Amino acid sequence: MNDNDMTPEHELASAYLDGDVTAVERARVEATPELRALVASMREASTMIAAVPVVSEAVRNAAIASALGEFNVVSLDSHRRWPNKVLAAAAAVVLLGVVGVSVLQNTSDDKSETASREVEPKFDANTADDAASAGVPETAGGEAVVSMTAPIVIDNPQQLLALTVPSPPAADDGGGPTGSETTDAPADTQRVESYNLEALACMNDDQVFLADIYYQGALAIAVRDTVTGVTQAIDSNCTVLASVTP
Amino acid sequence: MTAAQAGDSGALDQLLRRHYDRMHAVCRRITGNEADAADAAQEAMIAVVRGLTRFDGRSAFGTWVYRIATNASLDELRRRRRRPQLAGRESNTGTGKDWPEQIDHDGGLRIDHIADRFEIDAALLELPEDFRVPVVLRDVADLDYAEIAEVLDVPIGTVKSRIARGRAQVAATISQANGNQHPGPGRQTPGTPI
Repeated sequence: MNDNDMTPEHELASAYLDGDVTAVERARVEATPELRALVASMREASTMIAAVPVVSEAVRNAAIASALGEFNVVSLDSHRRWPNKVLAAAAAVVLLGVVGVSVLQNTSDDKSETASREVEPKFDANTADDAASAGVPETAGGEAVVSMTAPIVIDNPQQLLALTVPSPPAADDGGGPTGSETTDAPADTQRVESYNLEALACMNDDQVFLADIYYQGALAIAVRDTVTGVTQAIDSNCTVLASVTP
Repeated sequence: MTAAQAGDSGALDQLLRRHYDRMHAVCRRITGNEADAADAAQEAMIAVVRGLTRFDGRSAFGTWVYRIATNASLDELRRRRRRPQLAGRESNTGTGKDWPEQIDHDGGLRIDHIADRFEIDAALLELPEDFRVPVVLRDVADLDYAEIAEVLDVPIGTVKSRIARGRAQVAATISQANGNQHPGPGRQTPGTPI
């Protein structure tokens, strides 16, 4: 069938099929055998086109599951935008403060004391508490800053579980590191500093930050659920690399 | 829909399930086969989710999702054209003149509804996309002319004429494929003078 085959009658028959005709046109179609035949052939074609094979349950479920998975990513992204901005701004402010203080201290005579505060974390699988504590350096102002040190190397779930929740120093102890305390302090009482802002945004309300880590070579954060005690390694894609139940 | 836009995944699940079958049906008829239809429908579902927060309600939700399903199907067809095709498949989607013989070779194993399925797929695939899509949106999605015009962004008159031509050509193809074995009003070639 080419363009020349197409006649106004075809359009009339098609419109009749869709109920898109005037009373006069309807009467004309119904009174003309050739038009009725044309309508019948189109109706048969339309019926066949509309009779689509039923889609299988498995195909339907797979498509919807895939879409819902995308929905979770989209939702997470939308939730992550705002905290990331806040965290980035907070990190910038803290960084400026630390740099400013350092500059001031460099002008003082007590350079050795300043240097002693630049504590690098040393992880020992046998003394994980100490390692975690080493990740809680003290700023010049005497506040505890959680992490913002080199990520701790973690090779197995046991090491992950051994990490402790760093707590701020007592007000009267001079602001030193907190040793091997295992206080599960709520997240909002910490000043969380981390290299991994993306991963921080993955934390839920029940989780507290433990430390920046390399979990089996992957940059991540260690977090602990204050309700269940479950400790997890989470990367910047919110992938849980490890989950350890106490 | 509002709940889904607000982030209620349960509401979204219901919304997707409500529209999936019809979207898949549109994809099935535009692409002409199950595998491409499943891929296109899945892409369409994902596109719906991604665009959900941007859907402003100026058009009906159904119209919006059919536009997405249509575009996903046409994208799938373009991808298919870039893929190597099996000879048998090309044969069935080519001129449409060689497949009835293939089915007839099966003799008694031929099952009418399966034959009809191939028949209608072949007939639809012979239609240019500009004609196939409005026919599918009318006969499968049950959209009216105005809605189809909105989906395709063409005037209503264009929609009407494309649907008429598309149906007429499909009817003619089916009639030819059946070898006019069942002559009658329903099998009359549309080009026949009235």
